[in-house]
Amino acid sequence: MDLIQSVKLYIVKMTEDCGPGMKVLLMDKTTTSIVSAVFSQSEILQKEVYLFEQLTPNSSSDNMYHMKCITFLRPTKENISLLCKELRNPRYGYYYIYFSNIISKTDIKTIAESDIQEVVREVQEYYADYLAISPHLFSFNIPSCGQCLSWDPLQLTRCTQGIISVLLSLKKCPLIRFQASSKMSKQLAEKVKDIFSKEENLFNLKQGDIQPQLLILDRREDPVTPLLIPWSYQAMVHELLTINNNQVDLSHIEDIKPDLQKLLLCAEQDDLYKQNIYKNFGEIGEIMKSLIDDFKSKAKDHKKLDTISDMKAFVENYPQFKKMSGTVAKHVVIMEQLSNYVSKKNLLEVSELQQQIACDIQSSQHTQKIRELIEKNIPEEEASKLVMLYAIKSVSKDSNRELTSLIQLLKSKKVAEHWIELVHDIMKYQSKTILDNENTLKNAKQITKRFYKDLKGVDNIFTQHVPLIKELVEDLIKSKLKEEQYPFLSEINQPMKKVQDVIVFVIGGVTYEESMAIYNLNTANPHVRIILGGSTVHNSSSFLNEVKLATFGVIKNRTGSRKL
Amino acid sequence: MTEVSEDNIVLEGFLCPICKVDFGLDLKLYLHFQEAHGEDQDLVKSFKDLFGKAKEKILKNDIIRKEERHYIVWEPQEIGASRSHIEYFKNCRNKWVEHFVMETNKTVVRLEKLLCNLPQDPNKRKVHEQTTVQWLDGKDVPRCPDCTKIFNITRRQHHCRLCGSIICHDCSCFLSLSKAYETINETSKHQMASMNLPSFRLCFHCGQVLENREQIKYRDQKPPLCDCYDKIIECQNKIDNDLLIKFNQTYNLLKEGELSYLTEANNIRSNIGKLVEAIDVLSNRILKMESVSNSSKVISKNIKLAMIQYVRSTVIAIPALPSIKEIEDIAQKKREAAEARLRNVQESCINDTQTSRSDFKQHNKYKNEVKLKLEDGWSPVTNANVNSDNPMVEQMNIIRNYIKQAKEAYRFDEVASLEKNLQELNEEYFKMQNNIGNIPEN
Repeated sequence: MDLIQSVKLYIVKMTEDCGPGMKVLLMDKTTTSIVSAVFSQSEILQKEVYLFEQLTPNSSSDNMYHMKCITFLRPTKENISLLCKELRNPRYGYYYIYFSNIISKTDIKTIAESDIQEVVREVQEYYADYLAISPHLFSFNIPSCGQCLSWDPLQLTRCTQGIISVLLSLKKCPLIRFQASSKMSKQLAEKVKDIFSKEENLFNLKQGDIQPQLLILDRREDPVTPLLIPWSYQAMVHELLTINNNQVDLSHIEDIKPDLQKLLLCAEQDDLYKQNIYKNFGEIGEIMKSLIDDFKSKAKDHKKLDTISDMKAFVENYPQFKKMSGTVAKHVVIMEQLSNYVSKKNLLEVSELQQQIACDIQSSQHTQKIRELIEKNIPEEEASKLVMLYAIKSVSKDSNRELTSLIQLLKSKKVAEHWIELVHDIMKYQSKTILDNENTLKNAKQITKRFYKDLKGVDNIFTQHVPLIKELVEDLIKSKLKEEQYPFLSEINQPMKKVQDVIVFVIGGVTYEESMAIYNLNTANPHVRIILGGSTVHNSSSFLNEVKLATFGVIKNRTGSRKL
Repeated sequence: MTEVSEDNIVLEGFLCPICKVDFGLDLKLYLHFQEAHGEDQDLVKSFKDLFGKAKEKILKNDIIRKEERHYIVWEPQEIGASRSHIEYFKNCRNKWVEHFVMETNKTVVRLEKLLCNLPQDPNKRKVHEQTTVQWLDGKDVPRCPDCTKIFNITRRQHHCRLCGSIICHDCSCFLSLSKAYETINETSKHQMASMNLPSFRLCFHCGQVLENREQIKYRDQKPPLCDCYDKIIECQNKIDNDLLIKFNQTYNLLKEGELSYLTEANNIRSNIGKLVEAIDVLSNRILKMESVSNSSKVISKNIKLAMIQYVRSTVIAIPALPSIKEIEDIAQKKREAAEARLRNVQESCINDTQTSRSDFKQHNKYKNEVKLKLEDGWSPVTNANVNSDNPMVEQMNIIRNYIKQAKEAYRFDEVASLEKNLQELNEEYFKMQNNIGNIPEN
């Protein structure tokens, strides 16, 4: 169930299908990022692929009949008409066509009728229609799923296709569960089910004894996690510097070296990153320091090139030496940026309070502390996020009054209007069930949990909050997940006793912090395999953008009693 | 913290320590060094020591510490589901291609008719054209079928000379006479074409049909780049499938202390070096080729990049050869070990002294055994003069003999299995000896 492997296997197969010879890879925008997420350029060059082209309405007109063309496209209307155009005037010798998802017979016919010169050698569906970010994490890069708290039909289709391709690439035909409180997850679940029955042949897969489960969740159930400052490396880089298609853009920083402006962060090719991806900020600081010391001493060693032997040693060490200096320098720059932000934005203090609000610790003092921090002139986004967290979490009778006064305080600090709107938006976004359940059993359970936690003592005040998804998946693998809240889409004959393969999809995006939680669950429970996916991977700012778009057009407040 | 990046600006390239020339590749540098400064034994020695030392260094204090596994390890997986549409595709295509072929043939036949006895006089030519292909009646066609614009005095009706349909000037294309003769493969009438007669007016559709036909003709053309590329692939295959395997075999033999393979290993090594160099030269030639388009520039650049990578990984895969002295040391150690083993056997079984000595003699004798070729079938030859009182010792000696022969015949898998046999026998033998010793005590 390794997603990166699945995509890789497909692409390697493509390059092998067409035999030896020079190859060009013709892709669309999405498939380009799918391929580049798992392959480095040097790796793909070794497969004799020497040219990468995007299928666009006005492609170049150079004829290169000596090249074999591997065409890897999503089966969209636009792509098919462009492909027909390409085949009517073929630029390359032979075409090996692969679609990343299910394609209709009519479309095949249209393409076939454009291939007058008989250049097409292969037409296949290879289901690599998702971005494999980690072995257990996928995303479809959809920045926003819809409006008015309901689906954008286009994105609903994209998510359905994406999930279908994940399942097919892993050869799984799961039972589908969804979040009962969310209309969107029910719709998506039904769409996926539709395709199961429509493409019976495809899903007639050999299954083990235990049927896999697909759990579809809605981000609205847990709007807290994306608002918190994460402290693990990958999540932190994404929160503060933004990772986009495995790339970090640092070009906005003054006097940065040109080769460090765009950094590639890819665990597959960067061992240092791979090993520290889930380490927390403090640990990485330590590791970096020792690395630099080590490196400096090595560099000094090599500076003394007075004897021939020294020189030879240098030559011998050189490739490793250079490679290492590259990665170390890269991470040093990133760490420098991170620690700049941490001190500039007062993130330690902010994070501590965030965690207290999120975990309901000392709730009586929250407003007071928020006030203090806002008075300290923390950046407006951090101030507003604190108020948002308070708005989500507070339920007591006075909270309305408190919230109004906090918003007043933000206004007096000249916080931009759109941040204040977002406080309202996030309350509309938040799923009702949290409120409904607040005083029921679930709450009691959480209180006992916290009690235990307090007894054990907290090892890190910045990472006390546990994402909801972790609790849900933990329940699921123990077969304890409530069927009333997370029902199966179709009737199952007997209750599921055992769970082995789990695929979790979150409408509205996941976070790297949640990815880490799933990773930890995977290592702690070797008998289960859990894969996490989301419409995208959010940091707080991209999440708030989605909130803004999702609540666009929603007028009503969630409850009558909480007017602002 | 940024200091680090400054610290690492150090001398770059593969410089020869003596003549200070950059060789670009470490293998090249090494070969050069052996050739030009080979007589300097001390240098060579320091070189070789360092090879080992550098390796040790990299392996031992690698900056990146190997920590606990950081990835979930799931069982190896097979490729995901897939579905092929090629059969259906071919079905659909065949119908269409038949239609297209028919149309092409029809068009070409018409073109042949048109060109046959084509009059030079414009009026006569028009009559000829109209009798060959029946022209559509202009009254029935008020608009150009392609661009749907109304015909009037400025937008006049024209006829396609191949299908007789009506089009406007903007929607027509032209086929020059010389091109037309070329299309129907008649070069003999080129004198007609050279007389500057007007071209044929065609509709887009007929033009496209002929154009496609032309394109298919030129599809087999290959640019010069392909030749170079094919040669590179040839070199790569030779290195990967032949030379590297041979090199590893001889290298292992050298490590066993077989001095006689040093020249052969050196030869293979320099052959690989030559091929690597050839690849380098060829890929440079590709890089320098005049490329018409941007894409072909990118291709040549990427080929070069791929070859640099290939060369680097190949060169890294080739270890340095041990020096004569090192090999002798190894051989010496092996001999001592063998002697020690023999002595052990002798001590434990004094009766067998005779045989062991003969075994030792054989050992020396087989050093000069003729080399067997790899491809030949091979089976060890039993030596008649092995005799002993103890069948066990005899058996052991025979096996030792086999091992020796197998090594000389490059049969490493057999050596391994034989050595296992020998060890088992040895254990059995000692057990037996112990038992013999124990019985009297009881």
